[in-house]
Amino acid sequence: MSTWVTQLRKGLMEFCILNLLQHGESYGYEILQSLQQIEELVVTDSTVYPILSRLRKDGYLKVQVKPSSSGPPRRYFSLTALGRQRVLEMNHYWGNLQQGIKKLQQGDQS
Amino acid sequence: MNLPTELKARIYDHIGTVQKHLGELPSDEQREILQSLEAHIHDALEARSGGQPTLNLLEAILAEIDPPESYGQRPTSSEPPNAKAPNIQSKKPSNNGFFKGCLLAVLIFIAFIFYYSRESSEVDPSEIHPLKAVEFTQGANTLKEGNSIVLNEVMASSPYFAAGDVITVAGQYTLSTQPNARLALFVTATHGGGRSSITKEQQVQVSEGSGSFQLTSTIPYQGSPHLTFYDITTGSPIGGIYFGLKEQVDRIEIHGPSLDTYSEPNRKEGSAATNRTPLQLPKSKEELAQLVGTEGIAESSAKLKRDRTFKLGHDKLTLYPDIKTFHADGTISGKRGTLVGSMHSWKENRSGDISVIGLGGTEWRLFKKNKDDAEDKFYRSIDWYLFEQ
Repeated sequence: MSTWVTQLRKGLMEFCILNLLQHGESYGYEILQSLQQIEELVVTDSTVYPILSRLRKDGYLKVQVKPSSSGPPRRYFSLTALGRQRVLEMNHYWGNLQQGIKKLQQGDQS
Repeated sequence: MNLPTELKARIYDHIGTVQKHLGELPSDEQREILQSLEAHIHDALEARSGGQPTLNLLEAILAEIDPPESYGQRPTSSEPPNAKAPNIQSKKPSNNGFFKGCLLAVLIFIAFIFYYSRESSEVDPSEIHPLKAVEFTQGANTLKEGNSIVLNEVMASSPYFAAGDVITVAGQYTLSTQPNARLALFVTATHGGGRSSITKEQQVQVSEGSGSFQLTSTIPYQGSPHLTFYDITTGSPIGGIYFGLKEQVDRIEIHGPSLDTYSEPNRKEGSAATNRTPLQLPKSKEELAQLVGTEGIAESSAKLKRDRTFKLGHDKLTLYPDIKTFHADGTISGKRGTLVGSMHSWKENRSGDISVIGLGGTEWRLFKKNKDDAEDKFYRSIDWYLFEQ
């Protein structure tokens, strides 16, 4: 069970980050705080920051560096056009997946 | 939020440790992750400190975030290469076997080139934090009359002059008191030990006259950087300048001169340099007590938390501290004194008719190489402040 949960969480992390950023730009600490509201995800910094970096590198996110009153400049992440397309596709897939699973759970296989 | 140097150094220590676990990632990804993490720690401090960050709070925040080794475990991609990808993208025409074979060969070739072109998985800190011009405060100046060091620019991987930072300094020098010298970029430790290896990039031999220099070093421990001339024959320092954050150079002033800068075996007493930048030293015993945070400083047993280690080849050690004398009219003058120490006692051997009534002591740890003496010995009293009677 625990292995399945771990794998599921990891797979969902990118999906959640992209969905979160659909609503506007955000920076690392804020992204982490938002994701941590979903307790089941068990989000930590060593998971999120490498994913943010990879998503940026893959062209799904762009970064804008802005000064911060707390110290070093913050890196604000936002979706690129490719990222918006990606999250649309992911949400579509997620919707279909949910429907399929719901049918399975209800015993409706028609 | 302006953090005390101690906290900044702790953050950089943590980030430096995380960096060691990112060895498999490309340097640009490492840089991004470290920058995000650094900003995260600052944001967390600001959110929870109410403007009064403390080391305890920082330690609590560092304990809550993932340990550095967690960063060595790369997150599983949402699309593992061996797993069947979800059909969320438009279908592409299938490739034939020949193209797949070619693609595979190209990928293997690229992987081969990448693997063998890597010399080390460790990344130079200057790659993670590119060097930028940073502000600095110039501190104590112990140059002899006729010598000068002008610091034009300091480039560093962070503005904190913290352990692990790479710094490059550029400027001009004038050497007129001897035919040649070694100009070096070192750090005087203000906490903990002060030993490190020396690289050729952090020193240069200079000849009498004027010229320019550029030196680079990685700060090995918490302290105050300095540029100092050293005698090529004896290796003894012949004067230099301190620089860094104000808190760092101030600490050097409060602690007084260190062996790094002031140990001059052949120097005659009373010949203290006259061209020094006036130090912001206390004008009374009470002020001194306030500065060093010790009440009732009156003798050599007063000590600050400082720990330096020296390995001695003999029992006796002679120190040549710089003695500041506080005169009744508020002026301060410098004077050289000689302290001869043995493993069990100190003897003052100095000229003058003034009495030592106040001093900020520094604890020094001496290792005796005598087999009969197994214990480390502790001696104090390097920073002397004298008050005119």
